[in-house]
Amino acid sequence: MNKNFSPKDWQLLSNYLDGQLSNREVLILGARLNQEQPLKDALLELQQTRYLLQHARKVPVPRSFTLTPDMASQMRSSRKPLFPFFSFASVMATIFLVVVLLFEFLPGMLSSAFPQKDASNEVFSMEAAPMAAEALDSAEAPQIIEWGHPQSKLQEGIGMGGGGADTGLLSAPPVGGGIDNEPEMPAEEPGPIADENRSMMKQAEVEPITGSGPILGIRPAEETAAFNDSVLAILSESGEESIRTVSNPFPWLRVSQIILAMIAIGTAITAFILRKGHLRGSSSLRRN
Amino acid sequence: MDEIGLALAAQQGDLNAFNHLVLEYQEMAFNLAYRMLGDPDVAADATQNAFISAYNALAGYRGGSFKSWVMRIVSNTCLDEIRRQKRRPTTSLEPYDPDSEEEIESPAWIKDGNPSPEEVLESSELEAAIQKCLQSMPQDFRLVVVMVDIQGMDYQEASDSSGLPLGTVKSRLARARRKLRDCLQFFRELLPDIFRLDGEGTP
Repeated sequence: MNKNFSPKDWQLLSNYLDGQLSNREVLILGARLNQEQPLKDALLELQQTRYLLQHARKVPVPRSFTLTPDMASQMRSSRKPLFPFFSFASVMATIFLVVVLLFEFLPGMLSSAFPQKDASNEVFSMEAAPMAAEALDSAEAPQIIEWGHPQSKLQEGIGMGGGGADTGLLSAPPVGGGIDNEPEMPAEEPGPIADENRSMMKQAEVEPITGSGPILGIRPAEETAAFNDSVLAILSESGEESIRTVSNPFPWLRVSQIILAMIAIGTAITAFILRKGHLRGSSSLRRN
Repeated sequence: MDEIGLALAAQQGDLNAFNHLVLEYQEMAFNLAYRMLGDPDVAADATQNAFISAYNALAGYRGGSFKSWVMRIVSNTCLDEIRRQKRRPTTSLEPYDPDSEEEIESPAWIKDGNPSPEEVLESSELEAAIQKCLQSMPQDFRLVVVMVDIQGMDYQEASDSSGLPLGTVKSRLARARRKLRDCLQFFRELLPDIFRLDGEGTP
C-alpha cells in the first residue's frame, strides 16, 4: 500500500474532511478516490484520527479563574505607566546617539567643516617649526654680509633671497639682481601669517640700524634675539590656534554623545527595574 | 448582555462583566492550555496568567470576537510557557514504576465518570496516547490541531485565535493530522470498537 502522497494530497484530504474544498475540487478528488485505493485508505485513517481527537475527553477545570476585586485592585496598582515612557526614551536616546556618532564619522561633514584657511595655517606652522629652531641658532651666530663678495657667492645669496624673506629670519635684504629674480619665483598664495612676516620684515628693513658693531649691517645680538623671539611668539600663537581648530572642530558633539549615552543607559536601567518590579507584582498576584 | 457588551463593560472597569466572560471561556482556555502543555497544574497557571493578561490588556480589545481575542492570549501564554520550559528544563517529580521503569501517568487521567472499569482503562489509555502524540508534535502544529479538532473551532476562528494566516492553518492542520495518524497507529489496538473505522465502520 503506497501512502507516500504529496503534502498537497494530504492537505486536499484534510480540507475535504472539513468541507473546505470547492465543488470542482470535490469532483476531482472523488474521481481519484474511486480509482486509487491507497488514497481512500489514507482518507479513512485521517477521518479516524480526526474522530478520535474530536471525542477526546474534555478535562474539567480544576478551579475557577475569575478575578477577585482584590486581585483587580492589585493589578491596577501594579500597572507601571512609566515603563513605556522609559523604554521609549531609552530607544530614542540610543537612536540619537547612533546618529551623532555617524555625524562625527561622516567624512563629508568633517571636510566641509574645515575651512581651507585653517589647513594652510596648519601647514605653515608645521613648516615654520624647524625654521624657528634654525632662527635660534642663527641668533647665536649673527649673519655677516660680506661686501664685495665674489659673483658666484652673490648669486647664491640672490637665489636664497626670496626664501629668506619667508623664513622670517633677520637677514639682509636681497642684493642686486634679487629684485629682478623675484618675478621668476613660483607664484605662492600668501597666507595671513606669511603676510604678517613680510610686514615684520619690512618693518625691520625700515628700522635704522643702530649700534656701533664692528661690522656694518649687523644687529646687536640682544636686538636680534628679541626680534626672533617676537617672531617665534607670533608663529607659535598662530600655530596653536590652527591646531586647536583641527583637533576639536565640534566641541558640542562629544558633549552631546556623552549626554545621550548617559540618558540611554539611565532610562534603560530604569525601565528594566520597573519591568522587574511589575513582573514581581504580577507573580505575587497569581500566587494570591 | 451579549459577549461584546460584556467585554465593553469590562473595559469600563466592570469586574463582574469580565468574570462572566471568564466563566464562559475558562473551560475552553484550560483545555487548550492542558493540551498544549500536557500538565494540569502548569495549564491551570497558564490559564490564570492568560486571564490576568487579558484583564490588563482590555484597553487593547477593539471589538470583534472576544472568544478569538482571549484564546489568542491563552495560546500566546502557552507558547511563552513552552519556550520558558525549553530555556529552563525541569525534572519531572512523577513517581516511577520500579518494574517497568516507565513513568506512571498522572492520577488525573483516572478521574473519569465512566461506570465500567474496562472503559475507564481504555479511555485513560486512549487519552494518554492522544496526549503523548500531541506532545511529540511541534508546538505550531499542536496548537492548530488542538484548536480545530479538539476545541472544535472552524478554520477562520483558529486563524484569528492563533494569529496565523488561513492558508497556514490549513497546511499545518493537514501535516498535524498526518503525524497524529502515524503516531496513533501504534495505539490502534487500544481504540474502542466505535473508533475502528476500517471498512464498513465508517461513520
